[in-house]
Amino acid sequence: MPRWRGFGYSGLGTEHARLELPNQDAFDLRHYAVGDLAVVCDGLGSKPHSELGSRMACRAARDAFRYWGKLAQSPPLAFISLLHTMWNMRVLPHDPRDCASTCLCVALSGGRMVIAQLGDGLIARVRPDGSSVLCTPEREGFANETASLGGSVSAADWVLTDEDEPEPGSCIIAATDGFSEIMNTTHLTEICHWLRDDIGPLDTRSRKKALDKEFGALSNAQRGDDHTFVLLWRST
Amino acid sequence: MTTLKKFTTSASKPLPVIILADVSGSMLGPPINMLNQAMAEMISSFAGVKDERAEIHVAVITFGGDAEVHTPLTPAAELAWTDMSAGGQTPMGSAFELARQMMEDKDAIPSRAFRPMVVLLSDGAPTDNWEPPLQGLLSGRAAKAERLAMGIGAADKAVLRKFLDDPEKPIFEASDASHIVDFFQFVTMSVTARSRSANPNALIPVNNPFQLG
Repeated sequence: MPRWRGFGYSGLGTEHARLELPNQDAFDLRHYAVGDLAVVCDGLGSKPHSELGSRMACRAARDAFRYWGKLAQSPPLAFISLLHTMWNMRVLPHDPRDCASTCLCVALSGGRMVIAQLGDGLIARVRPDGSSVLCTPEREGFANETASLGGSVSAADWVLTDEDEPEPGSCIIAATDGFSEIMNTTHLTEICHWLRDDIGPLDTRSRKKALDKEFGALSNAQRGDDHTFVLLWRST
Repeated sequence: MTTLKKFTTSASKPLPVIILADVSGSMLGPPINMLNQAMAEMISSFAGVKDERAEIHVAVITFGGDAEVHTPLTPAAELAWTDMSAGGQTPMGSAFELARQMMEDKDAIPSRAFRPMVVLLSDGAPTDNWEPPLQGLLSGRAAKAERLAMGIGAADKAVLRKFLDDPEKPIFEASDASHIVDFFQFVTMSVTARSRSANPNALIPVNNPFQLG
């Protein structure tokens, strides 16, 4: 039976390294009996506990998915409601505003793909025929203005889509803006296929080493921000 | 060459600067000459800014007789300046509408661009229905822009005040056109400081360093 496989990567931005700041991005990829979950989060650099905020956002998404995925046809809104509640609890005792983070989730369960995106970054899909599609629309504002967990947000600030699970042979990529903003999206298919076919088969350590080398070859400005992604593909 | 490099783009993000220039009949003579000189110097300075994070783009919308896009949004380094000429009435409202359209156009100003700076310079009062277009400029995506205004001589300060939409922000007032160059030097400093800052999106405090008046 076709199943979802994948991996994630996160690298420290050169600007954060220079300032001796930790990587404020986080990612998670889980395969459960009820389905598969990919999450990438970008803690807002201006907040003192954003590193915690992004890590807890991944955990909150996991918490939410485990309950939400058990019920067939659960509405996407229920997923983000659970996620918000769990995140607010997980960042305690800190003020949530000090832990602000974006949150991009791909939840695959029961033949559905639910995409939930709050804030900057990119989620895109490559079909088996090689065509690609951005799953979330370009946002309204300008650079460095993002909605986030811990910010003044409502359900309307989330981009939510609920569609059929992509067919076997598809790829899905979710990336924080540190990667999405330097990604030439006209090459989306090539990026996903290269990651799947050349990087995916490596063991965890070799994969990290290979991607460190690939990002390390970019200019300092290109990798100034923390850069994180999760790639998923469905076997045929 | 590594593989990923082939699939990436430049890290620099556009920093748009949109000039709304009054080129009505009252600007004829020294004022338009001063304005052309100031614009050329500003663009030349912008073109010399080397920063991988921000690339300054400039657009000029003129209003004198008609409102029109004199210079479409272009990277300063690629811009060949063409002097403006003065004449006609002051259709400032139409210029506001052109600026709004430019800022709402995500092809012209993508969401990865830094917050635009819109600079209004006028020596008179609008002669068209300016209030609805100004409301458009102060709502939606366009409202996020940083705005600066310079009033020369008999400029309608109430209109400039409404354009700024912030009681804390000063209008740069000058008794005559001789201060246009000073004003645009200040605009140049403000924009280049932003382009080089850790966060080029952050708005900078606006002080009047030239004692115009």
